[in-house]
Amino acid sequence: MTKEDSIIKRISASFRDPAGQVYAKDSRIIRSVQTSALDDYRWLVESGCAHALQERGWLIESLPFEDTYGLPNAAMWLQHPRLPIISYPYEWPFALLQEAALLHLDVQLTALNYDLSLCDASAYNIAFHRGRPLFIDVLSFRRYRDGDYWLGNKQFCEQFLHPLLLSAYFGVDFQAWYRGALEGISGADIEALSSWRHWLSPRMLAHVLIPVHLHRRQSRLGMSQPKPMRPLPRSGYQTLLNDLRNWISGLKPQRIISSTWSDYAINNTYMSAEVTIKKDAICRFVSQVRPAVLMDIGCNSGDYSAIALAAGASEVVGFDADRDALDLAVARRREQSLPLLPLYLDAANPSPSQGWAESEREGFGHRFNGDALLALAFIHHLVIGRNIPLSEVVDWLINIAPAGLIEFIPKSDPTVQKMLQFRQDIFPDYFEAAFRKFLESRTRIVSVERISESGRTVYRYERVGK
Amino acid sequence: MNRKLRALIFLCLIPSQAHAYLDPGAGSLLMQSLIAAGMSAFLFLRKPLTIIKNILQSVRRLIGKK
Repeated sequence: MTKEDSIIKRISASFRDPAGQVYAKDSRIIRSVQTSALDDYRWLVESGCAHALQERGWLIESLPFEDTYGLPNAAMWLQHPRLPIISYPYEWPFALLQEAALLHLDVQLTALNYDLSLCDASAYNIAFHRGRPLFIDVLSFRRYRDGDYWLGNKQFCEQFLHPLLLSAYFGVDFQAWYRGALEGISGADIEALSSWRHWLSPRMLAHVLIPVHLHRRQSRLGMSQPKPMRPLPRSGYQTLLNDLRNWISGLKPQRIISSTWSDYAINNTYMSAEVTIKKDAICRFVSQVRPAVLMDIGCNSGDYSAIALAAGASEVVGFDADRDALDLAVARRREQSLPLLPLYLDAANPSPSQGWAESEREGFGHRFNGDALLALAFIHHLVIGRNIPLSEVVDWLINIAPAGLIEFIPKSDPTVQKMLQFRQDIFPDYFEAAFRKFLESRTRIVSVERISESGRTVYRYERVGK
Repeated sequence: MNRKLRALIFLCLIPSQAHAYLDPGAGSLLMQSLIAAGMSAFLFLRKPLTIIKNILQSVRRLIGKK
């Protein structure tokens, strides 16, 4: 444990909710419950709702906690297990945002049976743990009274429905847009993209277009013509949730142009014997290191992630910039029930620290630190493809995990040759000896394995110092 | 009606506002009030519709017997 880990730290994203604040300490997350939220929390536990949700693996475990750290005053303290990975919705591929949306709706529908509803619909209240979505905010539950409205409806649409629609109806990937609009994508933006066909869809009308129109009309009228609000029957609340559930579960991403690397698994430039050598190298490395969390940078469809899991990694977080490849990885994870989390990452522009005070949502470097790293057939994409100096790429990779496998692909390899086909070779420093020198400056090289005749080589390193 | 009073009534009619720490958005609330209105109209009309349906059914039965 580092000195920094032993310090109690308030989670920077927890300032919005007056019901409680969240702190991190060692392997625990500690949550204050303020007086205003105490009755609702007690009802969540005493009604049996928490137990029912936890039994299904939908809600994070929580236990009462005796404060010995001298934390600020609170009516009650709770502790949760600290999840090793926190990812954000703008890093999720389509299928993961869809799973998170369905989990939110399922939690609400179950909670309603116990006279509870959710007071918000933040996508940041859902984490992926061991490959499965998990609701992590126990203070979002409120006592439901007949006639109550779904106050999180707008937030749900902005943070779940609209990003999914961007991809499913308009063929626009939502991640970059979402990253620039942390609170979600507005209904007005979806309306602006809509054509006459969407105005004929009853679901588009009911969940997106009419609310946008009513909101605009209300803003124009102000308070001069108030509308009486009738109580919403419980069955109306449930119909709203069920209809969204049916709609969202049937959405599929629309790909207008097939992406570059999705056929990589089929058309890659390896010989099968070389793949075997690579797989053996991964198996040996993973079975010796036994990582709790392994980061697979450039995971593609998750071939090597699956091998690492079979060899003894407890959980793998895979990163790729290709949405089609990520979809394949998600499908593999679903079919084989793998604890694999495939995430969207443009490694030349990883998630920054952003939001309020530039710390509300932490950047890539703060959140993704694993026990082991795989970066196979990856570095040439950054060095040759994006003009990033080789030394900086090596530095960035070894900061992610203390041990790992990095593959070096020389210029003579057909893959790199193809990248250089139409551009000037401005990379005189891109050669294996230089790579080795940079790696040796911060790590101990454990092994070097040549895996192809073209000179592809896998280096295993162990970081020296910090 | 006095404008302030009407605004006050509007606020009182929004349920559970005391718990809402996020802005629920007028559009979403008004849409839900439309759903509520639709459902209450359905519930309101269901009883007379059932009565008419029962009358029609008994008339049909009577005609059938004849």
